Amino acid sequence: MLKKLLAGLHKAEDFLLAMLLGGLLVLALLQIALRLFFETGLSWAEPVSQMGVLWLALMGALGAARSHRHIAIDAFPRLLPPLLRRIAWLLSHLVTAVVCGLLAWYGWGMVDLEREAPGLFVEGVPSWWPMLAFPFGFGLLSLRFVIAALGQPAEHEGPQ
Amino acid sequence: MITGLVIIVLLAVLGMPLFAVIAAIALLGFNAAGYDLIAVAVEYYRLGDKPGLIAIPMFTMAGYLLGESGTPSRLVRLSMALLGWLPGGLAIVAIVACAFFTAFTGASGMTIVAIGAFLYPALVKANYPERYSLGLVTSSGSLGLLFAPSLPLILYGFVAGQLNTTPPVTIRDLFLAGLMPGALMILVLSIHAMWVGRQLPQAAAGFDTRELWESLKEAKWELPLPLIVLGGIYSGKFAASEAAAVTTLYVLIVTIWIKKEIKFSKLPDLMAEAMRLVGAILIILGAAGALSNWLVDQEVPSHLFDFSRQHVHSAGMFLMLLNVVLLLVGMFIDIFSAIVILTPLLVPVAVAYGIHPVHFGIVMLANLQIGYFMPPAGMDLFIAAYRFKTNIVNLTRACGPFFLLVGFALLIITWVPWLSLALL
Repeated sequence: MLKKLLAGLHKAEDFLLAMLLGGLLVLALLQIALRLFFETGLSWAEPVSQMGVLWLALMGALGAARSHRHIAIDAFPRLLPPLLRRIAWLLSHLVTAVVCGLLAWYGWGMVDLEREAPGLFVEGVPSWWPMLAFPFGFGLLSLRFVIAALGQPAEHEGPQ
Repeated sequence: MITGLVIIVLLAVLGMPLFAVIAAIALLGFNAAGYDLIAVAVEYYRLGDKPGLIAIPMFTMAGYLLGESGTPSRLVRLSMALLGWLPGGLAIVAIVACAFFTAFTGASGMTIVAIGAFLYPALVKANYPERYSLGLVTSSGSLGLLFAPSLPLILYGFVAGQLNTTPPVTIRDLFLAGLMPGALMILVLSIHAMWVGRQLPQAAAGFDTRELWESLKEAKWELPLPLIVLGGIYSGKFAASEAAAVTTLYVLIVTIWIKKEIKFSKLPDLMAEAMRLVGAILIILGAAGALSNWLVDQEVPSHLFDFSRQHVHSAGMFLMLLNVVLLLVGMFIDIFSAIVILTPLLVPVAVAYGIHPVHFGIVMLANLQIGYFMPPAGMDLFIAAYRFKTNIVNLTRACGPFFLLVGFALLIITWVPWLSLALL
């Protein structure tokens, strides 16, 4: 039951990631078409697309944490006997979770600061709204690394 | 500060993901310098206001789509028709096909999986020595990294472009600068391949115009790709990020609609898979942005220059030394992290020595390319070991001659800036 729920959650996450990328692609193409054929453009397209890349990075990093795709130097742990390797894995991933937690915490501080003197992200959207992705993203990432730390070391880390 | 740094480095050796390592050092540094640590978050968040960064997810997606389609086999057929009749023809085919493919997939190891995996058995069957074949497909996995639109090239363009050097670094210049050095590497490896294959029967009976025509027709949808990537940028019609979006659209249309090699229902999975790689890279880029901000604040690059000026007196010496350092770095750290960490440190020093930052970038990438198949941490070694069911020691031996060959090309690229700068 829990497994099914989790699989569904992962599927939804992947879908969201793909949608975000698709949305960015459509926006970029729309901008090109508007510029080439009508010599115009959407004023909000540039900030939204740049911010979109940041969200994409955070969500992609979440997915990478799930499937152990984060880039790490794993030459040394490979040489360790299983028990020590497990301990190295636990330790390094717990500390990663702490670092992500700190980034989420200070990210929240950044949002708070921005709310005191809010600027505009695009027309009608205060600048601290898109910023929320940062503390949330790193908060979830922290959680993912706690889960990873408790599991088995990955056979192969890094992109493939 | 020092204790903290030692602990973090230890954790890095134990396998802590590099983005966390870099972020931890940044947190430590900002703290030691007496800044509010919110500054680290603010610097990290700058990842969201870099114009043109979208080129990275776009080109990566195009590369993944091409990798899943029939492009690799069409590419091999075409190179076979063009080059198969030469002595060592099949090996040259492998070299050229790998280079072209790596340019699009950004050397994420996909080349070995997509092309090496079926060229390796073909090479062995054609009586190439097993060790040579293994070394060839492993070391060719990072060949072509100097060709547009490879991911490391774009990444260097980003990081170096933001340093506002004179002369400036643009992705457009880098795309041109990589062409001749990349071609030189292919040439060196191809000459070696002719030597190895001099007594073997040729892969193709002779130059066959009909087969060339057939394979050209088969690959007609892939052929415009370099034009789309480069043409738009050099005609001034597109920025690099726009060329990336157009390329992705084109590849989507070809693979899904025209060739029907990728099912539409598979698309979200494929996109998500590509974006996990992008996420892993960009999150390092963000952390490195925060770290390099601290390094600049502490004037580390200028201290570095003062220090090296006392010992290293010429630009040539500096580049030689750099080759050694970068090879060592490349052994332990992957190319993406190495680029984002080292570029802000080393480019100001190189410029102070009078080295053109575009030439410097090409030298750096060429170095890191060798790091890909360098023991103990070269990523391609692990992928090849996994893929070809062999061990690292065996692979290291197989790659030996290729270190020397690519290293020889690297020396020429280092000493002859003209190769990188003539086309700018």
